[in-house]
Amino acid sequence: MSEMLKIEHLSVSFEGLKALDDVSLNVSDDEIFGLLGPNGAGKTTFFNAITGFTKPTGGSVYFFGKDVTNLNTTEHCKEGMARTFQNIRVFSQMTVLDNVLVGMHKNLNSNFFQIFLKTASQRAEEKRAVEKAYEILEMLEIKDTANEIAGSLPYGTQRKVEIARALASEPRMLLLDEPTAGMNPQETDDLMYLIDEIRKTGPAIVVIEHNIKFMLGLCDHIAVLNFGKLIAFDTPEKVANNPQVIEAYIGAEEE
Amino acid sequence: MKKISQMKPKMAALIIFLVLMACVPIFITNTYILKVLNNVMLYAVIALSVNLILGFCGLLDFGRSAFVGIGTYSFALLMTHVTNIPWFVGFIAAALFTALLGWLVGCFLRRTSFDYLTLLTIGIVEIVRLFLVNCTSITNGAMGITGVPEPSFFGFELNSHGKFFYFSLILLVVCYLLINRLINSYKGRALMAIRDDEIAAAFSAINIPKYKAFCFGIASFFTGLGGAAMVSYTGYASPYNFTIDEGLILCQMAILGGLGSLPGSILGAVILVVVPELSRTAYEYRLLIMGIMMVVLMLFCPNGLLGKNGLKDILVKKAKQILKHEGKPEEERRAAK
Repeated sequence: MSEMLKIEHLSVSFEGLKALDDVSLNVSDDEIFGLLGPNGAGKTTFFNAITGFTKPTGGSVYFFGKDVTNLNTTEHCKEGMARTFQNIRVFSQMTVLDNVLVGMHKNLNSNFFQIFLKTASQRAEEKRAVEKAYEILEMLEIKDTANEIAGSLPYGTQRKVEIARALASEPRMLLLDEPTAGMNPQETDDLMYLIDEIRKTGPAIVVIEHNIKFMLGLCDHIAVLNFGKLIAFDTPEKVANNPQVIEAYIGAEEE
Repeated sequence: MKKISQMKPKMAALIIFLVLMACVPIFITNTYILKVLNNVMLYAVIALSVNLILGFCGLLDFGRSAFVGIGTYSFALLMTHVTNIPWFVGFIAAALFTALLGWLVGCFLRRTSFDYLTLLTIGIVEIVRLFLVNCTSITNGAMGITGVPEPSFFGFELNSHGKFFYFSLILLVVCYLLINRLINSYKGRALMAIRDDEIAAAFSAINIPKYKAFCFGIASFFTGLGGAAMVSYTGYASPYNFTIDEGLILCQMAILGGLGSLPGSILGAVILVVVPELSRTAYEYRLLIMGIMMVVLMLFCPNGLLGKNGLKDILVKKAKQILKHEGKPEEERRAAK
């Protein structure tokens, strides 16, 4: 139980539009952390800022004590962050197995002489990677789709492929951007169970979601954004009863 | 060595095919046919390198012919100006030089977006062409370079079309094998990831600019091998062969055969080298024929012949449908109608 992610006064502006405005929060390395907020509140921008995809215009991001604010995306991933996307981004012309293997990229090291000569060490490395990929697919219950082309699979399965790919990089923090989008209640329940399982043996998880019931049941702490500002950062029960949160989603009571 | 009967059918078929190919010069002595076959195989090597950039990394490079030219000229200059250089050393050196230039171009282009990258490759092929024609002091300009020696290994000269056939066959097989190994490694997957979704690739810790430059470099090595082999075959380097038209034809070989399919590149080379040779009319109108072929292809099977969901897959699916339909009893067939 130690601090994993520390965000201090994070701001992101796009030519006058303040997408994130002075957001400060922290996430510990053994929790499931939820990020809520109406559409356009800045949740995906938050993900982009802390993973180096968008450069923050102010503030700092510390990951396990290291200042990662100005690193680019590839470097963030090497530090141990992995994410999924709101609009699914699987590698649509590659097989599911290959998608997961790409996730392992940063841990594969053969140089191209070893590849061309197909040395024993390269073959062994490949074999280990494939075994691990199958383990992850097994855990997500999509092992039988391993040789299917990712782009031809149903939406829910593609989501799982994305999660498998993110897990393959052995991240210390997994960011899920609206994982239940487009799912029915049964699939949503299954995913909730799955996220819990992942957390038990794997990385800390930060989830963006709209499904409030899902979040209240799943998360250890929740932060709520509205118009780029942090309006709540607390345990689920307190956040659910926070009048500002209720106002943001439903509106204030008429006098 | 496993027995033929014990191997997987694909592997066995491949070995039988290669053995048959190896027998070709024994039975076919017509130099014209041998010349066409040799050209097919050398173009196939180049088409494989084009496929690596276009099909596996998704970068539309219209200027591959520039690098064929660099391979050709660096080999020709090396062999005619440096005395006593062993043929094989010159061959590999030319390919390495082409790879280096390819990598430098890749570095130059590595952060450029898709459309601008293509425009820049067109610029590059023009620059190379103008350099080859005009920089007379180095390239001998319009006169070209003559006297480029044919392959020789330890004094054994490949001075006939039949002997060169074995050289090009082995070259093609080796290049195919190496590129196949690259594709099935994590570096190959990184290239395909860049093709499919650059953002997701960046989030998988793939250093996109580095890999784009790497792709250009590696592919240019194979392009250089093809270019050097070609000039070693003809003995003469001309600066007029390395134009944007040639670059487009090279792209078409890869696209026609199916981007992302290595056998497809070979098939594309076969078709686009052989068809113009079938008749003089076919040769004169070859650009028109290829243009029509491309349009038809893009309309009906945009993934080429052997690519995923390409013509072969479409035909196989149709055949399975028909066979399934034929196998059903009469009533079901009538009900299905």
